[in-house]
Amino acid sequence: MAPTAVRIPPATAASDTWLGFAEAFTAAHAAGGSIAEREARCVAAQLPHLFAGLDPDDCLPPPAAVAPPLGFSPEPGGYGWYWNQAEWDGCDWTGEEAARIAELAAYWRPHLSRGRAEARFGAADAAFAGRDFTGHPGAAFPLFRIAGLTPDYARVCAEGLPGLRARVEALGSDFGAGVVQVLAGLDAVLAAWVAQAHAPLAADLQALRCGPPQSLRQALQLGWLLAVASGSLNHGRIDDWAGPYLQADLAAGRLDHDQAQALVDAFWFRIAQRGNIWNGRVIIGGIGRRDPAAADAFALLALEASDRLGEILPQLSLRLAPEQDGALCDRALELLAKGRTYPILYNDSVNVPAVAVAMAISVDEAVHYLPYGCGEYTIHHAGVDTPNGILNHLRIMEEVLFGLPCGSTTLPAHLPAEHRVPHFSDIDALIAAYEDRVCAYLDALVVGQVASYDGLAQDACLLLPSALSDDCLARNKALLAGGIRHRGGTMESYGLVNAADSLHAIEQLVFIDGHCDLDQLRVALRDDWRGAEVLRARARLVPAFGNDDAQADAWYRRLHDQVCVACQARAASAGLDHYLVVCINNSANTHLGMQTGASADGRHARTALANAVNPQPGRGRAGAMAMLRSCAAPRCDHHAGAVQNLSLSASWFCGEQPVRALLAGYWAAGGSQVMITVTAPGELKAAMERPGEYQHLMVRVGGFSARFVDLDRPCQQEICDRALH
Amino acid sequence: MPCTETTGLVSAVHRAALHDGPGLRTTVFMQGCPLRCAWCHNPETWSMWPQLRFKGADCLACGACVTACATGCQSLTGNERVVDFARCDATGACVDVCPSGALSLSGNDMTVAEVTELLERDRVSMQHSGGGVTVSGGEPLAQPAFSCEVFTRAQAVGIHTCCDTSGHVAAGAIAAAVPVVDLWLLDWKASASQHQELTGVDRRRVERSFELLCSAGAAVWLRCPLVPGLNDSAEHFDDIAVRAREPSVQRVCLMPYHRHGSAKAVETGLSILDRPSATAEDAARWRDELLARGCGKLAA
Repeated sequence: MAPTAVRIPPATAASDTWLGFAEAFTAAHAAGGSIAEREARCVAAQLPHLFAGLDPDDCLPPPAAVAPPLGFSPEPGGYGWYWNQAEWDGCDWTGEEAARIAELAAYWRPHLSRGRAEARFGAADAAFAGRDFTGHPGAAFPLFRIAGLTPDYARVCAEGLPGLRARVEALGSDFGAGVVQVLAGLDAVLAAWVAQAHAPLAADLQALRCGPPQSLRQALQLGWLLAVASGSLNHGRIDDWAGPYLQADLAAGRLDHDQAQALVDAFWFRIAQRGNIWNGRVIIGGIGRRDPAAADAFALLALEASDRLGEILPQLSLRLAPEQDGALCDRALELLAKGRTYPILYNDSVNVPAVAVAMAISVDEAVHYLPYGCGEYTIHHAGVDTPNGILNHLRIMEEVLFGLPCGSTTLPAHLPAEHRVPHFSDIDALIAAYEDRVCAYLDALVVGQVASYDGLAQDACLLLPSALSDDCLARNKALLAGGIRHRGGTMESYGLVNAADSLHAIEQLVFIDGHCDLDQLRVALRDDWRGAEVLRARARLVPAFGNDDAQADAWYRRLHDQVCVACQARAASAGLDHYLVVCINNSANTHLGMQTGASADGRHARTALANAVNPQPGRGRAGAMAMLRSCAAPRCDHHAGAVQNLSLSASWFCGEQPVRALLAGYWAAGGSQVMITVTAPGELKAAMERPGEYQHLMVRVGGFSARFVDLDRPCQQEICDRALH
Repeated sequence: MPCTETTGLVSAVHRAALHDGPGLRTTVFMQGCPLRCAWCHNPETWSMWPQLRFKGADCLACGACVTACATGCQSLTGNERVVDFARCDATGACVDVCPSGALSLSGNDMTVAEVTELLERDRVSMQHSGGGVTVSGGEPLAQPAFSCEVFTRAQAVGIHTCCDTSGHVAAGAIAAAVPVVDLWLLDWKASASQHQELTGVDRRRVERSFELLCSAGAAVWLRCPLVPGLNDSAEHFDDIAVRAREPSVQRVCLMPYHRHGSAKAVETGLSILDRPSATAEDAARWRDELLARGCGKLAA
């Protein structure tokens, strides 16, 4: 059942050429000129180093290389003008080389974009608990990157590189001249490959130098080329931009189905090779595709490619729309039943109107919403919505309960005996203090958001991403200097489920039942529940989010609404078109949890926070239907993405596939997104070893179904020992 | 019989049940059963009153239950916890003070309105899958007024209804439920000669219920729990095959024994059959036995 373990070899690291490249790159930077001129020279020097070696007989341009330790990028490798000391330190250099590297480092120190951004934090910096959210406790951290930029592949495919170049040349601006120079650098890279490649790759690449792609193969080649060259880690609505080429090739007999599949497989392999597990999104399906039939045909190849590859990349995401070809959903369920975990499912009926409201854009634009990275939304090639900040809500609760200042890095367990804690007369007083603290952190985070944009914009144009995004060329402005149509921002929110469950538990235990007072609770939390096991057990009996319990879910919705509305409210004064919460899923919930003390929801210190909009592990006990009902309840029209994980046993996909009905109910209840994992034998064994983490796991026993962890040991063993068919 | 009762004693409600009738279902397990099947999966539902359950692994040995219990059924000596179920009056006093959930009651009052509100939440998934509500148990028709009212209200809003019954019930209860039950899941547990021994009751009422349903033209699935070496006799298979020929019987569902119920019996101070679960080979053999007898309605 587990995905086939295809190990993708990484592209070759070119460390032996890094130093020479770095010196050339530095010389290009030091040569002066305008911001655009300088970036153009540097990017042109960098472009050949972004790609690994060419295979002359391949069907696509080379894979992405490991990013050099010095460079310019929106995100891969680093943020803006970046210097990655850890990469330099990872190589063996001679003394003479080390001296040259030190000289380079000294040159770059004042020019790095991260420093530029940090210099703009001002007083807000005091709220940040440092920079490394994995290393110590803290409620708020800035992030440095420009994430989620995804080129307008359809347009560049329609006009070709020469067409784009002509459009840019007509601008007659310094910014335009910079783009032209980057495109010239790209053409030089293509020319070099043409000289090395064999037919048909050489002919294809030569054709791309001269005009728009004429086939699916050329379209995918151009798409890959621009993704790597522009520093984009996601591939947009690929069925929309590549589907028409597939259809034309099949109709003209230039490709048969198997040949087309092989091309898509190769493209998928490229994404997997790139190895960025937090990105690599490809989107299929949904409202707003120009040629739905052609797109659906491509989408089926995409699903097949993911099935064949069986890897953790690409992150194939299927947008479900009412009038869509049912074959896409059928095939998606086949993949999920195999334990592929893809595609991730999105409900356009909910998401399109929600995005329109959240981003204050028209529905016509919102149809091009694009989940990227770990689940944040942006508008395909028309928006910048980087998450440039992290908020740990459970840490905020901890700070408030223990009277810790903003930006504190102290765990309650380490507080001195004389530390004074605040008094809260009732639950409303506690909530008010919590919400005030959330707002204080949002005030700092939005400064960090804007600083990340402006800190880069003062030294760079992001020339190629600008040329591939709306409306930079029309406005004759760089992406972060007024060019992008929607200049938004997002904020990663973690621990909100735990915070809601904790408040619920405090209200019940302290202010309603009187099982303890706040001081006794603080002692229990400080001591990680040692000596307070009974109180912890009581806390865990208070209904938790994720069980379709009206009170518990209301607590979550209250906190969710508060942070989402407060975040939105900070956009205008910061000069952003929108500033939105994202409740996404990545390992930050674990890292932050490891740096957070015990919480009133019964969670132990230094354990993971609940993952995105999911119940805390062990607290979701009412089954899949109830969990999805809880997940569907919070509003979707004031944030930019919230994700849900759902683990199902294979029986949901058998016979008449009850998973279809489960999802139908979820979508109808307002569910926006779901990521489905079908359990595998390893998970059953893990559930036996760590039952607290697998409370949700349902199994078919005989004439009935049961929660796996409720079965006695011999029953569990027997089920584990059954053959899987 | 008019359905006036609006409160029932419910052991549990399972949402999104996959195997209690067609489609995705909400299954309401009623408390109380007149049978004592040797292999019972749900022994906690036997009592017609609330039944105390104790999960020793979750007990913190805090002693709160000992103080709260008025009958002396809870005791704690050192760290040794003992529950004398025979002395329990099932008031739930100990459950109320138990901080960990180790003590719980099977059997809590629910109104019909509460049940129908739950059904409404999952109505889309039910209807999308051809599912609905199943009232099971325990014995659903041991609380006929409540079950009938659940069926009636569900049907009124287009939710498919299933009654999962042992058949050992009053004829009037069957007759009252026929108009509001879309599908009957009727247990066919043992041959007439073994029924008393293995279930605690003779089979006459079950046979009468079966005949009533057939004569009413009701849709019936026969559900046959089978325990290797216990009730898988030639006589039983002969009988199932004959019953399956009735036009009312749409499907015959074989349910191989699993020892899940024995753990729950321990939690409730009861003793039931505890032997190795049926194997895939057992299940295949039983299917062959029925196919050889011309039974063409076996569920997949």
